[in-house]
Amino acid sequence: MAKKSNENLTTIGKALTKLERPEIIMNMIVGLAALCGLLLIGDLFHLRHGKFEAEYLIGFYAFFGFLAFAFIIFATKVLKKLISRKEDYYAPNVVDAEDYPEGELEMKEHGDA
Amino acid sequence: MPEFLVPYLQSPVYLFVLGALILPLLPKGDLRAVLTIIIPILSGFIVWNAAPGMHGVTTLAGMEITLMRVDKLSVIFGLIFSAAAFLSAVYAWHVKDWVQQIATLLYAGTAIGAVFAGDLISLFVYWEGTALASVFLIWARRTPGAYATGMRYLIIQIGSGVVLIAGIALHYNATGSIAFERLTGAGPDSWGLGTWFIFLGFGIKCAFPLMHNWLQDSYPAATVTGTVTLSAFTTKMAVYCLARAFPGTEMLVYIGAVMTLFPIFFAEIENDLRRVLAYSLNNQLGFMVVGVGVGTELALNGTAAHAFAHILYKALLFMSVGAVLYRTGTSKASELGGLYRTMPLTMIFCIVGAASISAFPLFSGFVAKSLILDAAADNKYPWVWAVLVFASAGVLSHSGIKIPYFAFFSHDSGKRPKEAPMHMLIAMGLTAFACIFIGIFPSTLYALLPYEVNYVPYTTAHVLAQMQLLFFALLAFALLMRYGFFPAETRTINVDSDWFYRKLAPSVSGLIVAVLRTVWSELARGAGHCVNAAQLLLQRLYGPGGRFESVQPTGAMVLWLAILLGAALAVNLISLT
Repeated sequence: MAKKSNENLTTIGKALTKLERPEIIMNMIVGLAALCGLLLIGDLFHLRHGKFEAEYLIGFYAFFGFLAFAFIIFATKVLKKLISRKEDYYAPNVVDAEDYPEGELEMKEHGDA
Repeated sequence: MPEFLVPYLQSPVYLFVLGALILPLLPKGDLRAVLTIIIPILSGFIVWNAAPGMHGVTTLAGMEITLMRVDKLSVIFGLIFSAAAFLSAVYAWHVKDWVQQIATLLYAGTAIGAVFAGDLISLFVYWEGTALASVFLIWARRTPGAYATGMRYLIIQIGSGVVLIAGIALHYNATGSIAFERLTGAGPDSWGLGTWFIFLGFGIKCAFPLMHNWLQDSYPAATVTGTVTLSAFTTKMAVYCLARAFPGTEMLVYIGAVMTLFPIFFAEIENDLRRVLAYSLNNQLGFMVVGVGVGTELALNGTAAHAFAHILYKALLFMSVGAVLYRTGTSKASELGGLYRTMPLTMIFCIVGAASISAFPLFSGFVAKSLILDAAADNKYPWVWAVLVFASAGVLSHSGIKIPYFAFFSHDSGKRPKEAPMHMLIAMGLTAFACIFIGIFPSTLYALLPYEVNYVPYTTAHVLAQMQLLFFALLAFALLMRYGFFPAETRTINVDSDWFYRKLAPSVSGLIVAVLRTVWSELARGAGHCVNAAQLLLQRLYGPGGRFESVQPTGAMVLWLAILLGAALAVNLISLT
């Protein structure tokens, strides 16, 4: 489908399109990193306590979260090569290779009545 | 009213059956939809006001049947099932297909019947009832693919019932009891074959590893509204049954841990967002199963709380992706993107569901899942605890980020669909409200739990730990995305354990058939030569001018002809089948 303009969007939609500029996205990432930094500082005040020794390590959850996420993404890249098949691999006995029956849907464009 | 009916009226199931009978008699249109909304409300009312104890006790073929066991464990599941039926009925207001409406009523009704069943026989009846009713939500799509998928689903669901009834029969033989109670005894070493079968029957519907794929195969094949309904009942009914019969079975801790783990990777690869959610459902069931396996009061509270919260946020996520499918005709990540422009409310509801399932503080997942994690930690399962923490980051990746990101943000697909219809927005709004309400006021949920709760989810330590985990995972996502490491979505499917019965088994059986066919045709060819030779010989002997022509009567020849003809027919018949 051809790219459509961002005219006549919903109010929220219009406001959010303004955030799609690369420099704003970069600012958001920096902001997120700053927030992460603040959360790490919390560890220095021994605010956390837990049931396992590992939980007392400074930044334990932070690194766990970051590494777990990165691991999942890279592992799936490998796994995808192994287990990915075309949509019609099991055809005709699957819905993946079919279109959803249109009669069941109400496919309307923004601005339609 | 006939006396024998009285016990059956104790359980709210009759409401749903009555509704299913009345519905086709009503004029087509809104009145039918109103009925599907009112019945779950009445059911919730009955469950809420039911007095604790055993009701609806009767005898059937000499066995004591209990249709309404009311205790805190059954009530919390009864309530959330009624709520789920209500919310999906609101969401399905536009559906005019009476097959789906009746199927939804009977499905919800039998699932509610199952959680109140006090004996294994009525449990079995409701167990199979959910299978039979729910398959129509898949078939209602009315395409060849959906038909075949429905058949696979039905075979496995009915199969779990067959395993269950075999287990019940063996258990009855061994113990003389059909009471649906704690069966785990002193652990698996003490189990008879019957107990194992019952465990396995529950396990199939609970989507244990390697028995899970019916879920990911079938849920995305149902209708827009059907998937929302499907997501609530079958698997949580199985979780309830495990919590009732097998609490503290250590094996479940490890089974559950595996369940939380492997679907993460499959979900991350999967393109169809409704199937991503089905994998995610599997992962969430894992947390509940771990809770059952740990089996302490805290853990079982965690399982019940998580089932309650999960039904709501999972329904919300399925609703939002369903709304996208309803408006655009697809739920595939590769075809979507940028929809926030014109479907902002659906986007917001989707994010509420995503935040809830990811267990952000102030959302329902946070106050429910932490009970299970703490119970695992208390009971010294450090590795399982670590797996659950890892899985929590995984939940963020596939449900928390992937679903809203690929549907509503990501690249601009150019699609500008209209916002979801009002009734869908209302259903999503109510569900989103419940997710946030539980997150902010956890004591309302804790009051419903089976055991007394002395748990404070909002401590500085706990909030800080969870925020670190989630925000650093988010940071990883942002960086991977910014620097192009995040894999793009492609129009592909995953092979999973179902490959064994969908590809391997048919090709093996195809091979066996081919071998047998070759052997058979060679044998038949050989036999054909013999027949020809015999015919020639006979012709020489009995034919015109033959030696016996004058001696043998014609009748004998007709008889032999008939025998040969019969043999030829038999050979044909066998080669046909």
